[in-house]
Order: sequence, then C-alpha cells, then structure tokens
Amino acid sequence: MATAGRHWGIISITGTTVFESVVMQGFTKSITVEKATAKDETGKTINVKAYSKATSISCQGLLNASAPAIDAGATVILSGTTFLVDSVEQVEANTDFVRYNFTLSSEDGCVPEEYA
Amino acid sequence: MTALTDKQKLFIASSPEFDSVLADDPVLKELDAARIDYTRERELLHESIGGTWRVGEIDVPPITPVVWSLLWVLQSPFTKRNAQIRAVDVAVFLYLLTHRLSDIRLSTVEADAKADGAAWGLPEDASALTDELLHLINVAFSPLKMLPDTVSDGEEIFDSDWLLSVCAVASRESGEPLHAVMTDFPLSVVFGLLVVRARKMNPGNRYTKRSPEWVGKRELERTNELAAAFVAAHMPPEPAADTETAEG
Repeated sequence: MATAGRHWGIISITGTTVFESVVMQGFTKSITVEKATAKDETGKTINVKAYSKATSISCQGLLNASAPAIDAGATVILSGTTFLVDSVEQVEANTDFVRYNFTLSSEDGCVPEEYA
Repeated sequence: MTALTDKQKLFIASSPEFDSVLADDPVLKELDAARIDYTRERELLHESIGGTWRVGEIDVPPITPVVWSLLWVLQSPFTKRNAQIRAVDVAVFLYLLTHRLSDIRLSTVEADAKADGAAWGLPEDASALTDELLHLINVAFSPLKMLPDTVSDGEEIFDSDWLLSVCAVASRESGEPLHAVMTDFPLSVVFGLLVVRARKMNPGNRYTKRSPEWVGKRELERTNELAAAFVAAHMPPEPAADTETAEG
C-alpha cells in the first residue's frame, strides 16, 4: 500500500468517466479498528473483538492545471490499491499545476465506489 | 508530448514498479533537495545566529566541525550509517557538546561522559535523546543537499584532513580564523559556506533552493516524462481497433 515516497496515481472525476493522473507524496498514515464489546451483567467488559480495520492517509497531490476540479467522493488508485477521497482541499494553483491536500481512506481492503 | 490514454494511466497506477522508477530518478531527487523546507530554514537560521538546542533537559550548542571530527575519531556510531546507538554513545555526544574541548581528556572521555550522564540522570533507554541528536545531525548536514549526490565507496571519513579541508574553505569564505571556524562555527554554517564556494567554482551550477511552485512545475513535468517512457517500455501494445469488413 502506498504510504511513503512519491506515487503516481489516477483519480476519478466525480460524475464523469474521466480519469486524471496525480502525483501523490508527503504521506501520513493512520490505522484504526472498530471494536465490538461484550459486557457482563455488572457492565464490565468481558470480551473485545476488532471487526473492521480502516486505513486513513493524508497526502499532497499534484495535478496538471488543465485537470477538472477534484471533489470529495472521488476514488484514487495508488500502486494498485483503490482509496476513497474523504476530503480534498486545493492549496495552490497556477498556470502549470494544481496542488491539493487529500485525506484518503480504505476499509478492510474493499474497493470503494465513488460518489455518483 | 502526447497525452496518456486512460488505459495507459491505469496501467501505470497499477504498476508498483513505477514507484521504484520515481524513487530512483536523479532529477526528482534533485528537485526534492532543492525544495525549500521552511521548518528546516528556521532551524538553520537559529543555528547561524548562535541559537542553542535542548536535548532532553540539557542545553547544547550546535554541532561544530571539531566535535563531529572527534566523534568520528572516537568511532561514535552517530558518525556511521545504520549503526546501533547505545546510551553511552548518547552520553559521549552530549559530553563533547557541553564541554570545552581543550579541557577534555580523550583517554577517559567515555568514563567522564558516563559520570556526566549519571549526574544528568540520562535514562538507560536513550532512544528519545538519540532521535533528538540525530535531528541535530540532520540539520547540520542539510545544506549539503544542495550539492550533487556523490557515490561513497565506503565509510565516510571525518579525520583531521577532512576537518582542515572543510574549515579552510569556510575560513576563506567567511574571513574568520581557521581555529574559530573549527571550534565555534556550527557545522551547518560551515557546510553552507562550502556550498557558497561550490557555486563560485562551478559557474552555471544549480546549487540552490527553489520555491514550492518552481519545484512543483518541474516535478510534474518530469513525472509525466517518466510515465510516458514507462508506458513505452513496459505496456503491451493495445490491439488495433476492429475494422469493418464488407460482407457478401
């Protein structure tokens, strides 16, 4: 899974069938699990089971200036893994490129579907 | 350059090998090194105006050339790549940073450093202090990132010849006496002066830092170039489009 260095990816443009290439870097990764707990009659936890694992990645992405605007709900493929774009913020734009801050997520390795 | 098709973009995004191409590309490495890092710039400025650092609970000055050379002479793992660092190595480093070097007895430096370490209350697990000292080393060496990579054929040597060579250049560039450069100048300043010298010696060089905008433009251009080359070299040719054939 892409979490370090620089990676080439493709990002969907929501509401279209268009893909744009994106260069991602500056990765910060966090992994969380969701837990189910079982309690006894006094309310004490007697069993905990993790049942879902989610990976969240913050990174920066460079796109060509000609690319359409990127929106949350898009999907990104990086090194063969598909992520959902949870949030995106444009931080720099000029005649040559656009730079975004992304928050990407992947849950239990499933392939997410983009917002339609 | 011809724009990539969606199939070609997808092929690259699904090829981990292309990540290696990006990681190993010397042009992208050069661009990364040229990118201005404002946090690092603050740290370098802090050192150049005589600022000190705090390692754990101990105030220390920046690393000087002679301290670095001494660490190497003492075979400190801090001067080697990927070496195991022990608590005593941290104590020796802090000892050299915090004492007048003319007062130090090299024959007993490890024992003296251990005694100081006990007085300072250095923990047995010195990993946090190790990280802080490694950070100081990264700050000190960061100006050299502006110079082209050189391939080392073995262990880096920071002996007296190295000390005199770099300090002589820094002394000439700064106009300060050689001894003052060796013992008082932060290593980061000395390396910065080496870069100044390298610029003078190599007209037309690119030994500089660049704005994020300048770097971003070239980074994208270079990545697109590499992507096109990767597709040409690795992607199987797409089958020709079906052609209509006349029937009957």
